[in-house]
Amino acid sequence: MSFIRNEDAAFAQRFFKRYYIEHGEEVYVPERIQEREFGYFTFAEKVMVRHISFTSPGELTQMLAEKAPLHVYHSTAFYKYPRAPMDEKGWICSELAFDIDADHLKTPCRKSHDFKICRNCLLDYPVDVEKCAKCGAPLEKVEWVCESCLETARSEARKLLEILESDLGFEKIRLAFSGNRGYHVVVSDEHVLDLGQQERREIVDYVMAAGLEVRLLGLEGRRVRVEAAPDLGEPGWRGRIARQALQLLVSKNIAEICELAGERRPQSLTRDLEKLGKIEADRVPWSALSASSRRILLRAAVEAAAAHVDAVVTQDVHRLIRLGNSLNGKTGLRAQMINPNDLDDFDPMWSAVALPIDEEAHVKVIRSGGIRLRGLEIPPISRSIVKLPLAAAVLLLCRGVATLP
Amino acid sequence: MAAIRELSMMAKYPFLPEARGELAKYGITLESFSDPAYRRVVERAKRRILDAIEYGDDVNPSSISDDDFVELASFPLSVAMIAAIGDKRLARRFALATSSLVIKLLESENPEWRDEMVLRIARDFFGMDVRRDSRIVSGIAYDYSLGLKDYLRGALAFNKPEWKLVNRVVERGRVLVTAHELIRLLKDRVMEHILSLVEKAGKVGALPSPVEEAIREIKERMPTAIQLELTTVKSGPETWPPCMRTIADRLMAGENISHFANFAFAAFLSNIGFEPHEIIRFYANRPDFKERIAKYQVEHIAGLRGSRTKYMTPSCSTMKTNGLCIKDGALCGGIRNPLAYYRRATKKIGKIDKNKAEVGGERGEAGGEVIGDSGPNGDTPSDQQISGNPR
Ligand code: SF4
Ligand SMILES: [Zn+2]
Ligand SMILES: [Zn+2]
Repeated sequence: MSFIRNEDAAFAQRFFKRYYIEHGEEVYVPERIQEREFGYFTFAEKVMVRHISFTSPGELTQMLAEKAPLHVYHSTAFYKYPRAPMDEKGWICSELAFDIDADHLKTPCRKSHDFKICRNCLLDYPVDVEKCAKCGAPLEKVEWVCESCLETARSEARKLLEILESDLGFEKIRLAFSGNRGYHVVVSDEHVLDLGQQERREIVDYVMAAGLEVRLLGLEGRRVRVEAAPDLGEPGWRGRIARQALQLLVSKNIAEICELAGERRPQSLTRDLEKLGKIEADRVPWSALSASSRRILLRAAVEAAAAHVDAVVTQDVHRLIRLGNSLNGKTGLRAQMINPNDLDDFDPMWSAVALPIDEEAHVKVIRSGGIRLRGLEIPPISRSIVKLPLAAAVLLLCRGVATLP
Repeated sequence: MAAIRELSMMAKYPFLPEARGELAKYGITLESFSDPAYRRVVERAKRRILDAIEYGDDVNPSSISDDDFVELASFPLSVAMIAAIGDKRLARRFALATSSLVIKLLESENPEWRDEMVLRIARDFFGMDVRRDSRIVSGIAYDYSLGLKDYLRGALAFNKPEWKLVNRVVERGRVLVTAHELIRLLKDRVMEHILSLVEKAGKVGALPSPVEEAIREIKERMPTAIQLELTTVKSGPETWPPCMRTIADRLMAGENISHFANFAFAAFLSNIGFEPHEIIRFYANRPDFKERIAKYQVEHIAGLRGSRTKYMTPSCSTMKTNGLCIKDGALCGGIRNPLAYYRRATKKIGKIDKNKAEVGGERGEAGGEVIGDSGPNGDTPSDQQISGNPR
């Protein structure tokens, strides 16, 4: 989804430009900038300008101020010739990137807030409608992002950071909000730079707990192999599974456990939990559970503790990633860089608001969910012309749910 | 074995730099072997190679001599002979057998000395980031921790779930391994190292006649390279997509390829109508080829065994994520499954054998990974895998 009319795009671009002129120096300058490939989308055409590079930070900020692009990206890879076509670039090495996108997470709120619109008639429809009732044109889907979507993404980012730091021991970690509904994490420790695709795959499987073998956890079959069963204080996935499992057991929230495990038949678990009585907080009572309850609990614990990232992104050593602190053309929000230690306090709808809220503009809104910008509550809007703070107006224009009146 | 224990370290591990230094003291060159006094050295060098041909990975230390000097001097000579013969397949088999011998010798050392040797080879010789770390976790007694990168580099060659990073104890960037596992990882390093020695040795000019004589004997005992005869299938590699052709080339060169590549290739061949015994021909050039196991695996993929489900060729996107797609599909014109390439190519040349080729069922996006991880090896049925990404 993008702008409904060209005028809407031109309007938004004016403020992008102003941002880059006034705040250009806040934009993140990646290390070894000369060896990176950059790419951007303009407001006018829908093609990416790729294979460009800069010899200095100044050149980058100048380009941003001049072109005021819709989106701007840089490679996580370093190249000998970043401007050359792909197979002549001379790949040197690449940072290790992780992409968390609420789009890939099945947030339950989704059904309640996504909708479709007809761009001709400026009408909105429920998601399951295919064609506009008035003009018959195919509809476009709008994926709204709510606070709960953002919270889900944040919790995935939190899990990912914990695994990257405590298990994998990475130290140079950059974290950024995507400016829409996700987070990007880039690891640049020296020793990860020349990892190949296969090694990156092992790492992404690790953070996602993909390929985890139940047999090796000693929990398979009728009898628990006590010495092999995961214990709370153990390093890596074993301890993580044990801690998560205990937490789930203590909660006694059978519905949640089954939901996490994708399990339809909670009977055995209910029975086992009743029998269990009071749960000691110092170890997981694996042996007191039946084989099937154990399996359900384990699946739930793994699902709850795994970091859900886009595996393809991590394996791709030629990926372009959104430039930190640049503006995201889907929202006008800033792809805010965050100190990983501050993730819990980060409020995307506060810190990432980069366009003015003390100026206002009139827009014709087809439909919008509620928004909270810098503490300002904007209630849901439907089919009306309203005056909004500029940041909110641009956000709705970018999402393609509003147009200039 | 008692005699072997008495051998010096350099005689047992003659690829180590100390061994080369020791040998240099004697001042022997290739020329020296024309002297019959060195007959036992030439004999042992020949034996090393013949054992490799005959036993491959299954060599045992029984033909090791009890003479330090013979062991020490015969190793570089056997490398020079392998280089002179110039057969890649033989070189790989020799490297495999030699590394296999090395780890068997390591395993047979008394534990204290073994640990020291292992550390010395891993850390000092191969520069691996390894530390002693004795701990019992999950009932397993670990002896070392290995830096993440060195672990991954070595473990990727193995397909058993036990080696997968997610099933390891990983803490602060270090992976716990047992002494036995570290030795297993060293084996591949030793193998690579020996291949590089062969490469460095290059072709040598005229060789002393006893050596020439030994080489002649070896050549007679070398199995002839396996030729492909594609009798049941009318379409050859020219109809295969670039990814599959590349895998085939690498197999024919005797290179080791990833488990997933094996799986994808075998599934592809099976889908286009190859019989299991024809598929196995491709694997016969591998240095560690064992017909019985290969046959079992291929029949499994072809659906003749086990679950009887016939595995489908992984989709292009799965091939891509496994790094097997060539030039990002630029040569294939936007297809979604390698079978589509074959189908198009065979249509073009009008040679499709309707009875043999089953190109109907193509695997979708979901990819063959899970099957690739657990199916063909038969280690573990796939329903025992849990994964954190069912979304
Ligand atoms: S596009 Fe498909 S068929 Fe072509 S090389 Fe890539 S994976 Fe193989
Ligand atoms: Zn309409
Ligand atoms: Zn939501």
